[in-house]
Amino acid sequence: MLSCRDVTEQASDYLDQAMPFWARMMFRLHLGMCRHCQELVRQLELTTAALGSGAFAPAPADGPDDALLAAFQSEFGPDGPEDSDH
Amino acid sequence: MVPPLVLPPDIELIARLKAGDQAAFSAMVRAWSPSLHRLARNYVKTEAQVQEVVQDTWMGVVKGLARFEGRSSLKTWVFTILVNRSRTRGTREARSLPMSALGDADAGPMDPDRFNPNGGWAEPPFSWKARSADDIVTTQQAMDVLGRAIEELPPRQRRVVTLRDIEGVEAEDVCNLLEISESNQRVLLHRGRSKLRAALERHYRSAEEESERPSAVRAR
Repeated sequence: MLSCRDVTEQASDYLDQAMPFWARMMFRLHLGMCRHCQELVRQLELTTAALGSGAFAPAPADGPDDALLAAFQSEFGPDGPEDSDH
Repeated sequence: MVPPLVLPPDIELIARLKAGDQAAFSAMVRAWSPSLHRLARNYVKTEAQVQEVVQDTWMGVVKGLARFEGRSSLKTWVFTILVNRSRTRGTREARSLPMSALGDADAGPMDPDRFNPNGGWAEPPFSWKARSADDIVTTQQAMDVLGRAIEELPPRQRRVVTLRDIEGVEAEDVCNLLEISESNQRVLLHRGRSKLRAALERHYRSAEEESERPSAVRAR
């Protein structure tokens, strides 16, 4: 039987579905009976969702400089190697 | 705050890049360069080197794109180029370090004092006011708390949490990028996330205590 402490140690594996089938069943069985662990897992899930919401994505930087654009142009532009084959 | 750029799905983005679409290329460079800077700082020392490695990475992307096979996401492939180029010139710890105590000298994901000897809760989690991730990210105070907590994570936990949860890189790709084993990746991720959860828990608890204080005391 899992203890609450075990649950706190495995909560990310549970959320990421990185748990073998039986371990997952045991985990869910515990959650079904323990509202504190339910709350903990919910909090961890909310935290992860907040991180992935885009709110922490860095603001866009400047675009490519001239050298980089020129390299892109010469590789993929109308005069680039793709078209020069034919 | 400048909103993040939304790029089209990989398949469309790659097609547009290969067709020489400069706007698509510019959007990709603008969207991903900050993440590349953040990642490069793990490997090289100075800001000048960071700039150089990021520029070098984009040059590598331009040269190599025709050969990109789509075995990972485009973003992960770009990240891989950056890591490889950083490592060749990296002067910082760069390569995988012995992960004995997982480097970051801390115990499990929760304070052991919160459990009684049989592993049950002695001090259960404080129930949050937030019902959704939106409740967190639309509250400036909670965002500040979380932002600070991310900065304060031990470096290896921060790297894994940033790549997995903020950048959305798959677990397997994170292991390859950071040269860590799958189990180390899981432990670092869980410890990092647990610290962030704990920071929010402290925040919600103190916010509630604050609101419950008699107004006479609060007014002082």
